[in-house]
Amino acid sequence: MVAHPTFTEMMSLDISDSAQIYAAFLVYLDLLEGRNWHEVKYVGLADLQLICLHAREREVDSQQVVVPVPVHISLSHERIREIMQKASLPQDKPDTPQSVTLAIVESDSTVVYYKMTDGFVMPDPPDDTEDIDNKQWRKKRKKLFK
Amino acid sequence: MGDPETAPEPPPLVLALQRGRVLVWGAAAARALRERHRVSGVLVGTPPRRGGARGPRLPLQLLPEEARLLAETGAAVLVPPPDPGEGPPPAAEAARYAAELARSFAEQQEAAEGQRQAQLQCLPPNQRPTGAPAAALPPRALLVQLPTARGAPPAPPPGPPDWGRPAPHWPHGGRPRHERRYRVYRDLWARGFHLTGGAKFGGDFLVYPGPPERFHAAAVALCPPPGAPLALGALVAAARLGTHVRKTLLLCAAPAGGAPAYTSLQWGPP
Repeated sequence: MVAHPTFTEMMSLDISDSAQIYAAFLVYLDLLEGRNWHEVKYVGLADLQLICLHAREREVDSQQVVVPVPVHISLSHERIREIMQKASLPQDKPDTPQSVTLAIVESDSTVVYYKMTDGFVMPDPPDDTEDIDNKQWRKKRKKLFK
Repeated sequence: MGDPETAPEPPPLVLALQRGRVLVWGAAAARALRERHRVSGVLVGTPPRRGGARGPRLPLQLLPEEARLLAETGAAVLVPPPDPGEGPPPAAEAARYAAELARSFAEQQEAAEGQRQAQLQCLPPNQRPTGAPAAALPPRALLVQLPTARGAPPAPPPGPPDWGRPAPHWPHGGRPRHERRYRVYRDLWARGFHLTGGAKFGGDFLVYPGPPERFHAAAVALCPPPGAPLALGALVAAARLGTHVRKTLLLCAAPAGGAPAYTSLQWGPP
């Protein structure tokens, strides 16, 4: 894997932490091969000592920023905000808040993705309460007709 | 009813300070806090031993941040308990209290004797004790009523506690954790949210978009100390729990004299 051309190219970036580069490469592969994302590109951010990835989930989607970090490190809230401000792309619409996705990488190449957004984002409402009601109703009916 | 614009401001509510806890004893005050000030507190009263309605009871305990906000906005006054170290009460007051006890004792003795006579009347005449004098009610059997509800503060309340310094009844003064949490609490409260303690989900506060009786919390707020490293594993755990209960994990920072900053974290497989 270390002979992969992209990995060698990432190594030549001005990033000193090899764990960081390895994490970035694993996320690169996960997005490109595991999730079939489009136009996955890596960008070295020397002042943050991070590699971040720019990609599109589908060809028509807008570009997203993914910041890979190895799981064993700790980030302060200030550092998280610094990453968000420096890594995020200028938004198409001016009133959308800055947002990047943190990809937390375990050494066994498990990757979990967390979306970080500036400000308070309300959680999504339940998808469709009707559906849940139906499910409960079906269960109840099953019980009654047993 | 008068026009709400011209209605006089209601008098400040009385919050009892007790060794760092802030308690509200009046039902009307607890309701006013909930309805007028978006402060819910937690009912911490002892449930009845038997009988009576189940469920939480007064007093209402407030978070230090809730109490401080109410005191700073002038909606309430914090009243420490009367200082017992000031020496015995004035002699006149003590004498009045003793006289009141003696009067109550005589009254109770008379009532007990009346009750005894009434019971004796119910017995057949040959079973009634003859000639034995009525046993006096011993003084230790005296019933004393301690008033626990008070409509008004006992004395003109002193000024608010010194927020910057710990005191016996306000130990939170000047503590960095309290200061940090208070600035976040005040800012989110001012944005119109309802907040409660966040211990249920391992956070500092739970943030509700409406009254907590009617809404689910929308976020678990964490107020980490500035510059403190947050282990990513713990962050994943907190954010994943939040996702599962439909709450955003909200990292809050409200530096003194600076603009507050919030970062929302949501689990999102892209």
